[in-house]
Amino acid sequence: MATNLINIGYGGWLQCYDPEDSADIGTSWFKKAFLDYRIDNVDHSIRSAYFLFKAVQIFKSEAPELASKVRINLWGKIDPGNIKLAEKLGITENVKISGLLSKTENLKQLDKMNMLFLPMEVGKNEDKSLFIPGKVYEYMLLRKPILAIGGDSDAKQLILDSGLGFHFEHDKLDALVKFLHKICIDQSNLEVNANEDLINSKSFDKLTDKLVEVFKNCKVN
Amino acid sequence: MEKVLFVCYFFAPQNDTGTFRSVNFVKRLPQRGFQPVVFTTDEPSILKNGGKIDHTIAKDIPVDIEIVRFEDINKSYSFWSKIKLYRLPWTFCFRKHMDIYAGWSRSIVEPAVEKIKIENIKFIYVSCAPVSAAYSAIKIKKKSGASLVVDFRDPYTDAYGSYFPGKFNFNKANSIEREIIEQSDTVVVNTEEVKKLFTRKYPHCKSKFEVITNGY
Repeated sequence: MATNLINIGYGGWLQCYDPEDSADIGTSWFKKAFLDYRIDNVDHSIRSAYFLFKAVQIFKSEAPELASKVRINLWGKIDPGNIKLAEKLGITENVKISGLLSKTENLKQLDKMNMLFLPMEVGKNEDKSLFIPGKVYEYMLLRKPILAIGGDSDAKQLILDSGLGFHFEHDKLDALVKFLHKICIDQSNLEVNANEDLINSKSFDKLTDKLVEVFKNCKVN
Repeated sequence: MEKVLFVCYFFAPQNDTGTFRSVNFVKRLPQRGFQPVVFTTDEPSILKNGGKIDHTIAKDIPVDIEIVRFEDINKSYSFWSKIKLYRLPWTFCFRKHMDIYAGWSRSIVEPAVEKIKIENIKFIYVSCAPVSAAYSAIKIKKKSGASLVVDFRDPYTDAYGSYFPGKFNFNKANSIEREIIEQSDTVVVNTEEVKKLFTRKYPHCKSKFEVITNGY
């Protein structure tokens, strides 16, 4: 990858979300009682590329030359609606979308990136999301800076504790735009201070030791 | 070497987020004195269900690991989904059709019991979802006497993505979850917060909950 570009990467499944096209579908008591009962404590529509795209659009309108350095690389099961969304926001030259890679190739591709993208959901009411995407751990393995966008969650806490995370609220895009500006001017702003103790504790060697303990304690019982 | 029956519908070569945790445990357990015997599905079933195949996932699995593959026939699901009426058995016979893997989960019970008896296996580890696999594992445990470890990769009735055919069946799902937790010897969850959640819901089982996070 060219060194003057800021490559932001994401590999995996990614839905398309556009608030202008999303209608709030109400659920009647009848439907809830007899047809569809959903656990509705988290807004997972936020878990998309929309807010990153939007921030790049704003950045582009403010500093087009600098913004041309930003490349968002998405691969995997990417909803084709994201291509249309990039067109709609006028950032097609900043977005590259490609197909599914094998696990090994996926890791290689992630390793080529300057920063790894982590869209997260937002808890509704008092709830916060308990979901920690598996890719957080892949990102930890690579010890790359993580660009996380979303609400308060266990995943957010984990990436901040890992020392790799740059977290932005999805409804405060100004901060994200400023950050993009900063890293495009000087890539050293992407330097991270990895928490090696935490990261090492997430290796499957350590986790398998725990599973062995579980079996041994079962044996005692 | 102690043998462990690993029941994991999602396993190599299926490229699914549910695959990697089981694969990583299976790769490493033999070095720690436990030999997994894996019960999973086969490649044609993965493809039939729209899954993706990635053979690189299996590349470090020791060759002496026994992997027993069962076809996910699920005739009942195929029939009802073909006539676009899967909602009927799902709604009116939820325990039998709790998820689309329920047929596969039922089909492994007898072979699993037999395997446990022949190979003198002491432990059953179930990777959950699918929840139907954990539900079947209760039967395997009862028939074989082996200890049961259920690994909830995500919460079931409290997971944001979960969706049930009506409130009535949501209550049934809760009772299935309760049964799985009460009948297991150990319940593994993947975050401290999920452990707190389960401890609040099932305080009488709090000593069973263990946290093993995801990893790399």
